[in-house]
Amino acid sequence: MADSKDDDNLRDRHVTTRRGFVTSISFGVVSLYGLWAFYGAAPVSLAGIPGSGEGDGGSGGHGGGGGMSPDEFRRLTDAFIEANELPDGSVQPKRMKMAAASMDMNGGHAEEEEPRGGVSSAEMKMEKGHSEKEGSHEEAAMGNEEAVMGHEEDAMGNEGAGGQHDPEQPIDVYILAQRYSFEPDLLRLERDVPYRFRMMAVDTSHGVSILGSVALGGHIMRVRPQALSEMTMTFTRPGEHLVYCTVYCGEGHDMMQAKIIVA
Amino acid sequence: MNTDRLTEGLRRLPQGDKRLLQVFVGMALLSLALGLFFGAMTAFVRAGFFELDSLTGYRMLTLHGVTIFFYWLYFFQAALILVLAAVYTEGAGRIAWRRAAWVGLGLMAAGFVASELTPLLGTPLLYNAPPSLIEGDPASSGFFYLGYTLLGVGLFLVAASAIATAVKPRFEGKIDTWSSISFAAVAWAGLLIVSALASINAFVPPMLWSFGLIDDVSSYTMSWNILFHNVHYLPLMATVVMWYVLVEAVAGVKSIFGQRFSKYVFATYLIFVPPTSIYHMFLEPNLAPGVRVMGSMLSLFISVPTVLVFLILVASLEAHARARGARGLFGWIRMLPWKNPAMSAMGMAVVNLAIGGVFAFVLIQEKLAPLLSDTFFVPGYFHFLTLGTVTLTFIAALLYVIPGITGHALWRPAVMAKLPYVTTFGLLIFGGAGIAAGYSGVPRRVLDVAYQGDAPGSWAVLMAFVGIGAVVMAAALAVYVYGLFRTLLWPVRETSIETAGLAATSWGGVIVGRSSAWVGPLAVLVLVLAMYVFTSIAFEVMSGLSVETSGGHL
Repeated sequence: MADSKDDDNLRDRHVTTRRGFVTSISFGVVSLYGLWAFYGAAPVSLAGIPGSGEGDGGSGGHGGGGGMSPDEFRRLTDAFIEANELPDGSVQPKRMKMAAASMDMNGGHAEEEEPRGGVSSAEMKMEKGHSEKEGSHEEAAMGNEEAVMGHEEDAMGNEGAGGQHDPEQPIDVYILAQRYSFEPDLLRLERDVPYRFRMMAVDTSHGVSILGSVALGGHIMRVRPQALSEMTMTFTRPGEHLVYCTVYCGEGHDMMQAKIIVA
Repeated sequence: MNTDRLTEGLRRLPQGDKRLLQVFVGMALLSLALGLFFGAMTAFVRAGFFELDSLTGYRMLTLHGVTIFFYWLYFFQAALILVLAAVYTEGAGRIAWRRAAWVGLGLMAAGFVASELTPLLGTPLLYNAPPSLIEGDPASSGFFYLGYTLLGVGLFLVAASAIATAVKPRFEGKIDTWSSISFAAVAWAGLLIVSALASINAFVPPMLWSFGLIDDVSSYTMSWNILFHNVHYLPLMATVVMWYVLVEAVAGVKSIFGQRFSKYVFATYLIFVPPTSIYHMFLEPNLAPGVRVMGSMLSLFISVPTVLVFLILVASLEAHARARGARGLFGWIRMLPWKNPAMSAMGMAVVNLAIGGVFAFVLIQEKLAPLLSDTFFVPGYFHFLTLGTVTLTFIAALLYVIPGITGHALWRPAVMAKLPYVTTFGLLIFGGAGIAAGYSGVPRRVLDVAYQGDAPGSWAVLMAFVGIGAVVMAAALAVYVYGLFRTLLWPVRETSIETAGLAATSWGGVIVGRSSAWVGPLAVLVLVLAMYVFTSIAFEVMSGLSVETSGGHL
């Protein structure tokens, strides 16, 4: 490789042809960390810069509700649609003070199958208490489940026995992904209201991409069978958002779409 | 004629070795030709130039990925590790364990047939082949996984042959140490063996599942991710090793930093590449936030070995040229033998690596993954790497290897020398439109993005530009494939200046002294600035969405 004369005279070289210099320069790309920090996308962020702060930007859906089966999720989604469906077939999630009605609806389902989804708060607490007695593994599973179930009550329009609700709390939206459709396929949402999207694929893997209303970029989440994905989103402008699958799922992949109308 | 070390070493190989290498190269070119056809068909359908039914369209997409990513890149690498081990190891002079290499070649070829025919006749699974896509009919794709498995076993045998070739002279006491190229070839072959084992680990379970022998394939996604990270970085390591070889062949220049330093640099690939695999999984719903952050941080270091190789080679060239009287900041670049088709291919490969690298570093930021992963941004940028960098470099190597193992003169070097520019022009259209499409939300792996009229009109326009770029790229590559096949199979009869050997300079043998080399560092500065610009654009697009997100629960 190197001429021996060059090797011998390495110390006499110009600085740009020294090993230490080129090695240092090769780490130059690492400086991109500074830009990430500027945008609040690094562990040590620059405070006060727009975009910094917990959760901004998101990072795809997050897993939750480990262990929920596709059948359970389908049942929750069906209940969500039934509770919020408008005459034109679209679905408009809303907070309702119909605790008793929801409890009946959810409780009825819960009695038929595993009491995980769509149960009343009383039933949830019972299940949690039961699990806590079953050892650390069960407790860990329930800790996860608690987060899931606590919001299922909102999704069903059931805000607990007293029918109270906190307007700052997100409203749950259920999206079920399957070959080759989303359920529901037309959602009507309100702007500046936080919605917690709860999504699951029930056959193979799918993607849920929500296109910005000005057609510049979308927000993508992958959804897997057996894994509940969650993302809280607030739409800040009225408009229509195309929803489409971004993970190849078969021949009809191109046809898999839905729509969100924000008013 | 050119008498560089690569060409001379190839000519001196035994006839049996040459025959083996000719078949390897032939299979590589066949893969490139088929992959090019399938890729062009996919791009044209996506651009709306013509229609295919959905099943056929996804078969084209599947075959494009399978044929290029697994067979073109790996037939070539199998051939090249044998070449480098045999030619650049003092005292070797021939391929060791040649019979094992032939068996490996046979298994890879059988795998190739299985991997090509199964998607043509059955369900298109794309190249990552998730078993969940065929849960209703697993038997339909058993031979697809068998094809990949055979490829892995075959690669294992060929890599073992290459390592044996390099190791044998040391055991026989003929040499005390390897050259840096031999060292790189052994490291490269070692990584191929790791990849081969990873592929067996990934594909045997779904193969057995497809044939009804086991029930559980739940570990496939993880196994695939481990394999994928390896197999998509290996070609990049192969590329920089080939740059070392080709710089010496076209300019007579060796590294001015010494062999030992080069060995350290090649070894750094083993340190910097494996830990960065997390970024492929940023959109996975069950990946902990802390792991995402760690994945981004580690990925910042992934470019270190490649940038270092770039700096070593550019500084070596520039310092030698200045010692020979080159003037001005860029004057030495004009002195390079651009009429040599390998030089122009390598030059454009460097440019394309810079472009692809800029956008790759947008994608490694986990906060931007929800905006860009699974969009056309990904094929938009990675074609700068797979085609513009890796394939152009591999073709540059074949421009030396094929004449070396056949004794045939290269078909029309002057035409070949222009093709890298045409390819890069096509790539700029394809990749530019594709990256813009990705920023605007166009999904990858969707043949028709009209969504029954609900998609923005700009999507169709951008995809039409993608198709136009693909036309240009496909045309250039088709000429390449023809020229290389022609050189391999049908000797060029007429003797002319064009066929009398490749242009080269000989800058070696000069003391570089205190010659400066500023172009490399300046290029890195420009690269980093471009990364800042396009990463900022992505953050701004993200914050401009009319949707605010605030994470979820674990």
